[in-house]
Amino acid sequence: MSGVDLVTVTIDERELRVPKGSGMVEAALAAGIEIPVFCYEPRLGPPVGACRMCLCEVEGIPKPQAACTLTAQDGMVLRTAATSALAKDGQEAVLEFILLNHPLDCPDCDKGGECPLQDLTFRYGPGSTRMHFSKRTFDKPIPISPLIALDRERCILCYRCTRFSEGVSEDGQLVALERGADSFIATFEDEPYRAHFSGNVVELCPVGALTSTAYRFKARPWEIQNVPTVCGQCPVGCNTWISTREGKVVRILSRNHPEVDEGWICDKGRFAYGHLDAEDRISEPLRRIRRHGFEPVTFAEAAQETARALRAAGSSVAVAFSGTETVEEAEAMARIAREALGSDRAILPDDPHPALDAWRAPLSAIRNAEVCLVLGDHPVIERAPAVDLWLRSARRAGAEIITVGPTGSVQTLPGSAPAVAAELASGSVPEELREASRRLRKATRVALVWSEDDPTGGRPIAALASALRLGDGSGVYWIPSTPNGRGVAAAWHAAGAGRETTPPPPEAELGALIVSGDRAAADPVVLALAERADFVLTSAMFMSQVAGWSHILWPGSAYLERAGTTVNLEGRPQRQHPAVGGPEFHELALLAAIGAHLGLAVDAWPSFESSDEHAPLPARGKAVPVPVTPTPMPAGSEEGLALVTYESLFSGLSVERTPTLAFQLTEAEVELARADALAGGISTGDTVVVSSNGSATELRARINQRLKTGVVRIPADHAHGLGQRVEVRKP
Amino acid sequence: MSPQPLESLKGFGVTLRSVFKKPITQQYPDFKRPVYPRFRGRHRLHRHDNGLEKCVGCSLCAAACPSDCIRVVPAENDSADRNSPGERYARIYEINMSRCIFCGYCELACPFDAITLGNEFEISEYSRDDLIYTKDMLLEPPVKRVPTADAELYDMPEPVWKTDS
Amino acid sequence: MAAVMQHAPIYEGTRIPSPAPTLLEVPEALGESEDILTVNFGPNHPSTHGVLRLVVELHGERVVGLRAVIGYLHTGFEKTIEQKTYWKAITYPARIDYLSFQANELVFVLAIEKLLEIDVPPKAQWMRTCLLELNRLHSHLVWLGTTGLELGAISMFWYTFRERDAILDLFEMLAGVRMHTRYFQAGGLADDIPPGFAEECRRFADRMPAAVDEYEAMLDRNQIFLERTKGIGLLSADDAIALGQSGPMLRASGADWDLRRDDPYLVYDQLDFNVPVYPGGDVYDRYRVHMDEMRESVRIIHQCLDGMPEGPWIADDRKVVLPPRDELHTSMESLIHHFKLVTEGYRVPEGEVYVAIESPRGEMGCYLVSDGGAKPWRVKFRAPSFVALQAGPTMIQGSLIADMIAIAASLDTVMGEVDR
Repeated sequence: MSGVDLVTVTIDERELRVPKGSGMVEAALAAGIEIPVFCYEPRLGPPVGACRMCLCEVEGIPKPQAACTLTAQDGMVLRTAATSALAKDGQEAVLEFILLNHPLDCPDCDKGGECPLQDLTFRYGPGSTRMHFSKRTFDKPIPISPLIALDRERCILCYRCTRFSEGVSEDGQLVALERGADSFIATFEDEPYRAHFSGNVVELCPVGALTSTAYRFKARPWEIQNVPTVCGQCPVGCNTWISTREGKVVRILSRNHPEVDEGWICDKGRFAYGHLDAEDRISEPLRRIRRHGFEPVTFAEAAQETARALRAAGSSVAVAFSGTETVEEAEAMARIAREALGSDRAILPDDPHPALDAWRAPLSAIRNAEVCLVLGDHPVIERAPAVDLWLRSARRAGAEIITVGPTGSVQTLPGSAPAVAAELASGSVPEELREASRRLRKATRVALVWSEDDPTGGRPIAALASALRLGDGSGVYWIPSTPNGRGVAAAWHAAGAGRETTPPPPEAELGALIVSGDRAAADPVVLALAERADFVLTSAMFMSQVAGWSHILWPGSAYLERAGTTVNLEGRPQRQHPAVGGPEFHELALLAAIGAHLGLAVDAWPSFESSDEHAPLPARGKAVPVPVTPTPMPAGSEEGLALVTYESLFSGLSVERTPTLAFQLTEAEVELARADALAGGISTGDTVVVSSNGSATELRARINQRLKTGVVRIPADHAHGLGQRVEVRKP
Repeated sequence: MSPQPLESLKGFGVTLRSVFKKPITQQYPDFKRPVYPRFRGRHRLHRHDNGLEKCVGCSLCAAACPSDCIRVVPAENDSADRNSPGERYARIYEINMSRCIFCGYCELACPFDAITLGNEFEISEYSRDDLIYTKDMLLEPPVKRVPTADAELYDMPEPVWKTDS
Repeated sequence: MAAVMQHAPIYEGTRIPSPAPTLLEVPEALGESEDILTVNFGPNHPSTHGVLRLVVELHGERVVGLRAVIGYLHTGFEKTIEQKTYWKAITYPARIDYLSFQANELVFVLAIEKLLEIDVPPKAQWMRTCLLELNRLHSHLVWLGTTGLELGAISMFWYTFRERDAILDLFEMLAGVRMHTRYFQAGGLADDIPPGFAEECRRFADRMPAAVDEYEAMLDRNQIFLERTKGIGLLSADDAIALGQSGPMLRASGADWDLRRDDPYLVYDQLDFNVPVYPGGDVYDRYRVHMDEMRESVRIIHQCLDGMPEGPWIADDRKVVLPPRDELHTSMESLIHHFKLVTEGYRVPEGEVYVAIESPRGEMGCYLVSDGGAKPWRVKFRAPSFVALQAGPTMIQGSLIADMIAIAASLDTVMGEVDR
């Protein structure tokens, strides 16, 4: 760190040179001296000094001080409990006070064995008690949400949870009520704690006061194995620990990657592992027998039959990807199709523009940005939740966040993002974008975030970045629609030896179709192709998606069950390691066997070792100027309202199959702008009929004051059959 | 005759004297010497006087076991139909007796005196599978086969956790 | 250095076979002849004290080649201990040598205590000494019984096992099990001494000298026994020292060395006992050392029972010793300490120590390296049986095959300790 004043402090008789103003807990840690803490957590913002565990003696101050609230000043002499009797006395007294009202729950409590309160008591505390009287009691446990149980007796009031809720996820739902000894944690208005990041408070709690209901009484720390892996639920790729016991996933914890997730993971990533044991899970290879259904086949039979069909189909083969495959699987499939069979037909869920690599930056760079521009119709928190946290942290750090979309700070009609990007790039902007344009051009550190489905692969935002001549401190974050869309596209292109990819022609007959993954299997386009294909190989996790139209059905593995590489929205390749077994033969084994039949050498297992290291971000690509493609702004219409749909975070196959997350599933709701609601005489809570093109659906209305007038918003799973323009009326 | 007749006779004399001594041989299994009160034999799980299981499924015994022979799978108590007084109980409690080394660390580890090592040592079986004791087996009082010597005389302080085993 | 008794030399020079003392190679001249018969002796031979396999090359009745094959009882205990917390690991050393279980337990516990720098109460020190000598009696009795068995005196076995059982009864009374007691814990004893123990132990100790006399009467006047042991398996003091021998092996060769006296631990420096030394260096003198040691052990046991102080049996260190059970329901601090001690165990300061004690078989050493964690980083036991086995070729060379049995028996090896 250049330009930072170094000051000399003395901790436990050791002189240290540390940056002025750095926290004393970190300063001590850098010198190898541990100052124990409960409440201190730098990720939660400024220290509060609530627990007093870090009491230290500071020369010149008669009373012990909370080290976490001190910052390094030149000449400061600090003594921890290791060298100071005063600090030691203070620390023991603090622990005695904390334990005074702590229930004797260790054998019951889920935190037992990994509990900071236990650890610090064992390491620093007194060995026996002097306090023999009854303890404070509360009703317990209180379910503050279907995911989290609150035990107020165990709470030591460190305020970590409320600080997270208030200052990190900014949902403000957890609060401390009452004062002094009567103080306790509660949810606002006793409403259930329903938020995208609620599970993080369980991990933050230094005692067993907030515990996960899903993990409740499942296992002890000495009974579990922890596997480091990368979440495969969204394109962020948060680093996680998977705890397994007796071959089952029992919980998922964050594995702080400071550049990607900073240790916060969303509730989908944390809790949606129940789908591994879903009832409709396909567990063995199946073959269709006429109209009657499926019969199990062996691994070898499935591979042989598929290889025979593929060889017969030759170049009349198409591959439909889901974007949930690992890079290795996608590469194997691409090589089978392109190298061995000579077909270039594929459906790729995402196809990022190559120029984006020039502005590659870690997600943590968003925090340092002066201006963040978010383009797109989809809420970032639903598409890539961790990015939303970075944007919030940037705003707290003083950045200006400009969101362009139906609910943005600059309100636009659905589908305007490419046009807005083109206008901002060319500099000729309408009145409402003028200020944004000026700020973007003035700032040196800019974060551009793209948050909607984009068939051009981010070309508009690349053109904008190119026009703004973004430099080192800036980054472009194009959020793909699938977790590994970037990796799959890269693997597919790499296997083509420069040949162009062609989408399967909609009308022609297909010799064979490879449907890879449940997402592809649910795609109506793929479904239409499958009906015209002579042979369909489907690899999927769940029967309900694929029953009927597959010839060979291959059991798919979840991201928790396989080894492989996944590329997140930054373009960072990260390793996934299998936490649990899954199907006996994974997709890669099948592809290797098929490859062998077709004379192609494919590795049946990825070639890397298990490791819990954090993956680095590859270097930036060479900047290529991207010309601006003029795009017309979507025109408003007098008839009806514009519909915008988005895929909610708590939707999809894994959430639907996780009973504990049922309360988080999106409600059948339509969001209306205030003016539109008034015009229709609708108020929040009313049941309304949303209709278009002759199809209609009944939804609950909710007035969203931030929504652009003339736009209605419905989660995608409740908007089936609706067109781009809808009518909303009371029944 | 051996080279040293006198010495040999002395040797036989020892044998002869022993003929008139009370034999120390114990005719097991007809006779069973009482085991001492601290004897560590077959495990037992205990119940409170009101019938609830003392075990709350905290797995401390499993953590303490040097041979990893204990498996505990806890679950949450149903308040309408309680198994144990606490929030949790042991849904599955298994001891693999073929691995157990009878060190007694489990009874030391148990904070609720729920598991103790009793006096039974005749626990051989014809199959290894039969040596995996389930919770039901461990909760049932074992068939008392082995007498115990006077606790007053040999054990101090009297281990409360063994009194009802 | 061991003081060597002045007496007529057992043999001139050295007999340690070259180049490797553990291998006896057939002389080249003999190797040409076709009279060499290779015999596999063991590993499941009743006269090998466990699963020792000796590949013996015979020229007529004479042993001219010898190779010991070990590892049939390899358990990996030293490695397993690295995976266990110290508290749990205490159950392991006793199983390495199942005859001197209490001595092995002690050496490991002493090593932990040395790193922890914990003070052990006097009562525990005296009790440990007492149990160690009981254990020595137990081990020597088994040795005597089995050696008698191997030399044809089957009845010895029944006589010695009579007293052995009495000793095991004492252990059962104390600790609840008869052999692998884990009664020694870091800081003292696992539990208080039951009041009946002193009386029972004294009754046994009073009876024991007569029993030893009885054994002696059975063996020492038995011509067969004498002829099969006297002058057999010679090992000079110099050779014994060169081969790293300790315990009865060394003392029967005239070297006066006993860790209890020369490097006292526990309360041995406050006790009055003799160290029996015999100059003959043969099987018979090893027998005599064992017999005398049993008598001395009885004396020590008496002194321990007389000198046993009152007081606590384990140190009051809440960071190492489990808290009293009655506090688990009232004190949060005690419950937390109990929980952490049971699940994670106490942390032992970083460092490495070597602790050696005089086990029934000789110098039992424990080399313990701690990295500051709750599990040993490395544990290595210096096993006297393993070292004794090395002296086998030196003693057996040129002897009759029948004498090999007597010599192997006199080594007093426990294969569990050799292979570990």
